[in-house]
Parts: sequence; structure tokens; C-alpha cells
Amino acid sequence: MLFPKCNKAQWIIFIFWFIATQISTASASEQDLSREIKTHDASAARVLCNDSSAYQREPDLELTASIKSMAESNDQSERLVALAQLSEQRAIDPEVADQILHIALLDDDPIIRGQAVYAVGRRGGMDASIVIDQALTDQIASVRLMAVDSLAAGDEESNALLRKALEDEDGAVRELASAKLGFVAR
Amino acid sequence: MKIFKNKFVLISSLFCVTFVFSGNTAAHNQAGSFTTGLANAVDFYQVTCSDDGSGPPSYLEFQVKDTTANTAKVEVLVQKGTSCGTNACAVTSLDAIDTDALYSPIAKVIQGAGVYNLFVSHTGTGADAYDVLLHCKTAGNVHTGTSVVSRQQK
Repeated sequence: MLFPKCNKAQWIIFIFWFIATQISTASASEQDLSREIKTHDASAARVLCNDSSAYQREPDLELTASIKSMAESNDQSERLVALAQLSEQRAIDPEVADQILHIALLDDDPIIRGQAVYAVGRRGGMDASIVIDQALTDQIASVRLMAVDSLAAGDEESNALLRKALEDEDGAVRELASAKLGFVAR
Repeated sequence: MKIFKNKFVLISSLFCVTFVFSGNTAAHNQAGSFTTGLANAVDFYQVTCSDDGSGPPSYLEFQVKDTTANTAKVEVLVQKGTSCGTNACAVTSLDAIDTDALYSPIAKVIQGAGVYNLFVSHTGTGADAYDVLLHCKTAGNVHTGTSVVSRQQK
């Protein structure tokens, strides 16, 4: 028996209750969405501005905790935002940042892996050139592309990695590596 | 027989309510990514604004979120019609900051009902993904009929 035996009044009450819960859920979702969908305003710009001295400053414990929490989320978009924040030189505890990146570099999701590689390349440290060298052999082209994107041509190590990327089977990876090396030559 | 009829009404009602409300919360987001990653990659969509009973459409409002933090930034261009005198026929919105969870500034093309061409591009070679928000609205800013069709994925 799919449904219990109910009289007409019970069915009507049940239908009204169901509709009410659906409306309330939908309304809550809309509110969540409207909270999330905010355009860039002055405060956002202030918080996210790239401050190169931040990396050397004392770690911001609140910011570190917030990024750690996002990095541990089951929601892919939250994990991506956490990794994106790590690609900026923010006042995040380096030990926590390294822990997050080590885990993300092994993620099954190539989008997460690519974003982690980019963050390592941008931050430097933790054997960045080795991580990027390995990422250039990743099976997924978007990960290799993020590895090349994280490189700033100029020093011999980066140039060697970019030259390696010139041999990639993917056109976009070759295009980006070529553009970066071309920029140096100009 | 009467019980069967009541059950049928109940089940139909539940499905209708679930369908209507799930549609309201999930609709009008268009996620995608540049599959080639090449600098000249453009994804092309067509958005149709129609009167769904909420009123005749006046404009298409849109924003984009670049969901990949890298060098290239994602931009949306929306175009409709050729009468570009009073209201612009083509408007862009760029998500200049891709390290956050925020969308680009809200932009709108005020060209009434019909089909709007929407192009998503990025500023350079890169593994970019995006999420576009779309809303057809009436002159009184009430949400009205909006549908999206993908025409090109690059």
C-alpha cells in the first residue's frame, strides 16, 4: 500500500502542508541565492585587493580559519574559492595553506587539481617547480593549462617549464606557453 | 474508485508543486566552460524573452561569474536588434575579479521581447569556467518568461 488510508479532510490537510513546506523551501533558496549573488562593491574590492606584503605579515587567523573551512567543504564551488584565495598573496598561515594545497593536488576532480596547481605556482614555495613539472604531465589538458598559466616567464626554471609545454599535445597549452615565452623575447 | 481518484489528484498536485518550485529556484543559470581553452574561444547562446503571464518583456538582465581563478577573465556580451539609438543593442559585463564568489556587475539590454544573442568569451588563453545569470524582466522589473538554448561551445 503506497499511501495510508485517510479521509478526505486528512488528505486536504496533508496537501496544504506539503505545498506550504515547498513554498517555504523555495523562498529560503531564493533568499540564499540573492544573498550570494552580489556584485563587486567597494568592500569586496578592499578585502580582495592583492597586497604583496600580506604574505610576509602575521597570518590572519580569522581568514585562515575561513579558508580552511571552505577548503573542507563538500561543495566544489566553495573549495574552488578557497584555492583561488590561496593563489593570492594573502595573510594566510603558510602551514595551513600547504596542507590544503597538498590535499587538493591529489583531488580526483581536475578543476580542483588545476586550481591547486595554479595556487602553488603563484605562491611559490613547497617545491613549486616540481609540482608544476608534474602537473605538465597530467592527463587532463585543463590542469596542464593551469600549470602553464601559473608560470611567470623570466627565470631559467620557469622558461624551461614553458619550453617543455611547447611540446604539449593540446593547442591551448602550446598557445599559452608560446605567448609567455614570446612576451619575454620582446 | 473515489479513493483512486483522490490519490490521483494528490500525486498530481505533489508533482506539479515540486516541478514548479524546483524550476523557480534552479532556472536561469547557464553554466559552462571553454572546452578548447584557446584565447579566441566563444560560447554562443540564444535567450528568448517572452510573456509567461507576468507581463511583456522589456529587457534582459545578466551577470557572469568566472569560476576559475587564473590570468584570463570571463566576459559576457549580449546583443539584440539593430535599432541602437535610444537603447544600446549590445552590452558587456566582465568579471574582473575571479578569486571570489561574486558575479560581475549587473548589465541589461533593453530591446523588448524576442531572441537575444549571448556570447561568453575570455580575455586570453586559459582553463576558464563560468556561470551566467539571466533574467528577462518587464518594464516594472518583474521576472517574466526566460529560456536559453546553447548554439556553440568552444
